Amino acid sequence: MAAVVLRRLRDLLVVLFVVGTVLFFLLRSIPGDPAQVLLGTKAAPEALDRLRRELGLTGPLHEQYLHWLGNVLTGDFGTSIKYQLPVPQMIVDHIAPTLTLAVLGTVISFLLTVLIVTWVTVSPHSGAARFVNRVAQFGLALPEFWLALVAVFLFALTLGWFPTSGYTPLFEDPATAISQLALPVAVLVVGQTAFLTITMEESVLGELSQLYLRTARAKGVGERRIVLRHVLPNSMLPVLTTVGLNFASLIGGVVVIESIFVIPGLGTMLLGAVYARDFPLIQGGVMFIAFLFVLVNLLVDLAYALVDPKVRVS
Amino acid sequence: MTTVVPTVRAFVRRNATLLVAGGLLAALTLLVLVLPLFLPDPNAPDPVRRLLPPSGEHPMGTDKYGRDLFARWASAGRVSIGMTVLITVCAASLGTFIGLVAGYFGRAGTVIMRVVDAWMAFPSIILAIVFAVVVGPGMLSELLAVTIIFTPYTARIIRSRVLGLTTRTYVKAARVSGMGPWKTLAVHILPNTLPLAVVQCVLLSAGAMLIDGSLSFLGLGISPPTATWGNMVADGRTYLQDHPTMVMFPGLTIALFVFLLNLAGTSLRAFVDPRARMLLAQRRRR
Amino acid sequence: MERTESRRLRHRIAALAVVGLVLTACATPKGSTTGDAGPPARGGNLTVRLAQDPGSLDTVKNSNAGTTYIGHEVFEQLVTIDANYQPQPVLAESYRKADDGLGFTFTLRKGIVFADGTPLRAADAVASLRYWVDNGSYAGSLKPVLKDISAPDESTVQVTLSAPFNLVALMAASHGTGIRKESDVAAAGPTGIPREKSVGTGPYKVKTWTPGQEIVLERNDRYQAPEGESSGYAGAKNAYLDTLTYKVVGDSDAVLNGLQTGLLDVAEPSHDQYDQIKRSDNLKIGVEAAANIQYIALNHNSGSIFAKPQARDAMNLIVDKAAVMASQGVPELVSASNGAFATQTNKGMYSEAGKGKWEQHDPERAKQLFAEAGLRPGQTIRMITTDEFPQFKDALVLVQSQLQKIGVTASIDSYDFATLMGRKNNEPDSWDVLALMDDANPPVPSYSDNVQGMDNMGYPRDQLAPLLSDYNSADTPEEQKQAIDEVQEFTSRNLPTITLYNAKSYVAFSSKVRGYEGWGMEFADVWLAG
Repeated sequence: MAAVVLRRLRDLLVVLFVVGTVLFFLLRSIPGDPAQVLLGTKAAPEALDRLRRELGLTGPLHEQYLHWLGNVLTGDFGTSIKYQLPVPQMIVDHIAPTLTLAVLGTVISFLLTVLIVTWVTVSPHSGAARFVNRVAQFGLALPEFWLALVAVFLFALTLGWFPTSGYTPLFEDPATAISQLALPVAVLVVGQTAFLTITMEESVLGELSQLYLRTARAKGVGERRIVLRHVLPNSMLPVLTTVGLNFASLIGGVVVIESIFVIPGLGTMLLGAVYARDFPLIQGGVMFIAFLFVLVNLLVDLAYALVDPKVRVS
Repeated sequence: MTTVVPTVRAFVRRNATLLVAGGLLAALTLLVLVLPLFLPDPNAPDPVRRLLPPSGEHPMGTDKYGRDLFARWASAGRVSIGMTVLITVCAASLGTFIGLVAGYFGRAGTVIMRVVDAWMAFPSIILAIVFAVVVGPGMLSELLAVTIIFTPYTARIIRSRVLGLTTRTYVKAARVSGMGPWKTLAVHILPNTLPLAVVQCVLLSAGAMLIDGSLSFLGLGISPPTATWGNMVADGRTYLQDHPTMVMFPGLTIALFVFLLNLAGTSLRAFVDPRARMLLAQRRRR
Repeated sequence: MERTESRRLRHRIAALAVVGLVLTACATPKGSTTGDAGPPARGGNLTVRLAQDPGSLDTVKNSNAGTTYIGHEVFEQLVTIDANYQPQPVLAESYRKADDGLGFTFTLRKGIVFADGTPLRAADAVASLRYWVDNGSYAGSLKPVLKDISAPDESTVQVTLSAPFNLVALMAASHGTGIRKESDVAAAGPTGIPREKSVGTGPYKVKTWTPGQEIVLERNDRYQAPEGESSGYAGAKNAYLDTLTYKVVGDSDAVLNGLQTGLLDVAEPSHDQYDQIKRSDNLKIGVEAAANIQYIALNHNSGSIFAKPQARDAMNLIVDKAAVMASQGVPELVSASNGAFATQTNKGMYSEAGKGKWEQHDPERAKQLFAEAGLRPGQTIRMITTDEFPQFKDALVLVQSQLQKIGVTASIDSYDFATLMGRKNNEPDSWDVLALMDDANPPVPSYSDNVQGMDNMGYPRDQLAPLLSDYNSADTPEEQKQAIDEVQEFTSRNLPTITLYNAKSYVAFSSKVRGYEGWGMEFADVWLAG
């Protein structure tokens, strides 16, 4: 097991190397550069050239690349061109809002899903199963971006229950933070819960038809016990994958929510960095997101191996 | 002849959801295909008639250029539905193929999955921006970006299914009996992953239709003046307080369309997939 | 009490609207809380929206708008502009123009100290001005005639020139002439003077700076006000507010929402939002003094159809400027440009030399001219712009439909600003039309895109250059006017750009803000109602 984990960690480095390299050449190939953004439309060509030289953006591309790679290997991720702050510090400053959103969104959706599906499975009468499935399908169909707009319109502008936007660190001022986070998290939770519920319900139904249940029933095990002890735990596998994948993609993918609710997270930082062509910041930010992503995936795979001995971690 | 009627009736009863959802989808698609023929030019501005509320003449009102929003809604439907289908087909087939290969061939699979990991690990906004910048914002860049964003998800999910299948007895039996790997894939594994691929298709088409709005919001969507339901929401949001219908009509259309797609997709699985048929029976039983 | 009632009523109405009742004739009672302005009160915080974090306060190198806004609160210039755009001394007690016009002497006010307690010396001003001349784009026209900037003694700054130049006007209008500590200027790196080295003599100083979120300024207790009433950036500032918080809000709809719910006190919303703000009870609108000129630049490079003069004239004939202007839906904020590169209020620079041509609109003739220019059937006119401001795309959407009427197809690609600039400069043959805006009150004509053109090659700048130097060396207003007419004549003939309309920005601000009319984003003399 330890050897496997080590091998996966090696793979992680490979992934980071690939992401970093591809990104480096992608960024240098798109039009526009930081000098132009910083100095504006009226800048003299000489001033632009001078700044580019000083930023190390001139000279052969492969030399620039080797220079960058060398720095990264020695743990130097560079300095943000726009903010003149070390890239790791920029990331630390912006990770908290995004993590707060992603963790709250994922945890709440997961708990809600387990509650809903357990309820549906334990008391299958009342036609609730069908009803829940339909509602989940509809929840999944609501465009997140649209939902956010409507939520702001109804609950912030019209009813005034929550602020229209803003962010306060959760531990600094919990009351304010929660009122500001309520809408963005709710919007995330709608889609996530819908998706997870469908996944889990599907999995539960599959599990219910397994033969071992018949054996268990024949042995006289109670239906409730069957559901709680066998069916639900065994159907967690696909849910875990989905939770892991969703969480990881939320880290870099809540840009629109961050933007609508003015949350200064990683996505907003990255988007701003792209628009400012802040190369070191984009490079560092993307590699960090990639790192988290792969790490979460590794954890999901390990969880897989723990839950289902049939699947070996390869 | 006499047995046909009850069979049809039974079929209709069994598949009411599918028929209703499918029918509505078809009707909506037909509507947006035909309607533009009878409506004014969706891109013709009329500065005098800016921002009109819905009325008999303009059932959905007009936008800030004075363009008829109903005509835009209809022509947007063509583009949105077309793009959705295109993206879905591309991403689902590419993803399924990668997933099959990666799941079945152990060693190569590991390498492929590392690449897929790196691919997924790339934040999608960066991808979308890069495509918009390199290809120029528009249909092609949206198609490329969204396909690339969605493909690895399908690949991963299909692969995990394949991994489970390869340990099944009948697959082992096929191997032992000397069946080639590609044939085993095609005969034993593909049919078993197909239902999952169909679910993926459903989720993909839903995602594809949903993502257009986000891309338009970030200024990376289909270029003006072409309307999509997504960019109609993005354009209308400035007027959300005064003219909520500008956001509501296209937004609800997307929601309805995706909802129907989800319903139809789920019911459709019962035909493709014995497991799904069994699931459906299971659900009925309850 | 009345406030609570009105809020409750609003909620009621809102709740009804939610359940789907159509409320048309339901007028919310106007808040009468605004009342008359009482005596100015000290204290409080004002929250101002910034579209982006500017990253630094280097007003010379950093072109971000936020840098300018905050820079004016933190730094003072030797001379600055008042509300009427006239130069007024601030850190200079007085200034004198040499008799031959080839030099200026500024005498600094006595006893001025920076916010950190260091006394202001002439050497600080010299270093700041040199930095401005070396790095500032505004100073480009000054460079060729500048001989030296020196400090003969502790309180005198001397600028010597090789040719007459209206130096004071340029310095007053340039944000980059704010005076900093010599040591701060020396700390400048490639991207400019770092954020931590932002000590000035102005009414406010930086308290905290959270990158990407907010910048908080607090009152500078060492500030010493110049003489005279506060006007524009000039005059004595009372610094009534304890703090000024600049909040980074990128999304324009979040700005509108934030203004309406009191998260923001001041912002510059888009034209699209004007009507909604105008109707809002708790918001006031101030129209800014500065104006922008919206234009479409035509690419004179050989790779574009607009290398041909006929095509440029055709474009002038087909673009219906009045319709583009009307499409903004804010008649109070827009006015016809008449083909000039400066606003009509700018008496020194406004010229009607090209008005006749600009006003022509003749689709048939345009079609003919396009054909003469060799526009092939099916050839697409490639129009590019940026999403930064919605009006650019608005203009192009209309131009596109006007072109379509004469059977010419056009495409619109809208990029982020960096991509647009990269396209324009590095792929000069990849576009035909570019929509942007520019300052409609440029310090000198050469600073205007509508004079200089936006493309790299092809535009006959060599013929333009003598006309521009005629302007710089003009002695009398009449000579200046004549030089401007000639410049305008030239641009009208060559059409580096087609000006569409002039537009004013507006400031939306909370009704509790007093002593503010919206002249600009300057809050050093603003207070809050109790």
